[in-house]
Amino acid sequence: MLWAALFVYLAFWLGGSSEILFEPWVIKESKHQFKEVIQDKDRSKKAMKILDEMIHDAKNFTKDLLKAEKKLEKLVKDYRSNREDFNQLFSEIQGKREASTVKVLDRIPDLKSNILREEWAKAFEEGK
Amino acid sequence: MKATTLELKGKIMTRTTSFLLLLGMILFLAACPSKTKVQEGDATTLRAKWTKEVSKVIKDPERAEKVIDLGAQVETKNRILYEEINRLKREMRNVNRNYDSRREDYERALGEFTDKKNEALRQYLDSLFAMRQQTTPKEWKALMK
Repeated sequence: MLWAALFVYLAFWLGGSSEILFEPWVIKESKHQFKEVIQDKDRSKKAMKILDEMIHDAKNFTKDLLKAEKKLEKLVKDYRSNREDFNQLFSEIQGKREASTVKVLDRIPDLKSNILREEWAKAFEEGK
Repeated sequence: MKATTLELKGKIMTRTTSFLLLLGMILFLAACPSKTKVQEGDATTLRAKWTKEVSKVIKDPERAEKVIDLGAQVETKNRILYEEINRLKREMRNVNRNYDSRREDYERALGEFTDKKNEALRQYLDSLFAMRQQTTPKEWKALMK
């Protein structure tokens, strides 16, 4: 009980909510949305490719996150673990998160270059 | 918390939100609420179970009470930070919605989130060590089962 409470909170803040982010249906829905919004086939194809790369990177980060969660579980349970052990793990995952974020941010201009302003706006309007 | 999670999942089902999720959530890696065992439980029930569990393992009433209080504090802190995260999530969505958002805009929103997340981790570690300090290795092992 205590273990569960402590672990789930810590895992949440470590970034353990990725199961919501990368469920297959989320990816499918997102790709579907892109396809609907981008009318030009060539641009759509390019956007899909960029999107696949972003998802690939995000999935890789999720794998790292799952490994980190297992380490976190051991640290929480271990009576001898110290703050430094936790901080080391947090730094490690933060470094990976930043690397993953940079990759995603790098791709946004490319993604937008394949989506017109009005298409972008339309995509957001549709869900109102 | 459960209601919020369900509400979020419902929103995710909408077209625009799935679009937002793609960019926003990939970037905002840990900003969404996850459906956890703790969140599934009613706060009062949780506290009652917590009290029962700790009292069963830690026979010294004084130490048990401290651990119970610390556990309740963790929950309270989480709720406060959760609200803040929701605000940051909305901010991130706005950044995504704006076609003219620059890299700095994304980085600023993400930076705020990272700061908040680090603050939360520090607080939880403080609580964890404070709780552990009140237990013996044997008690801790029992509580961690």
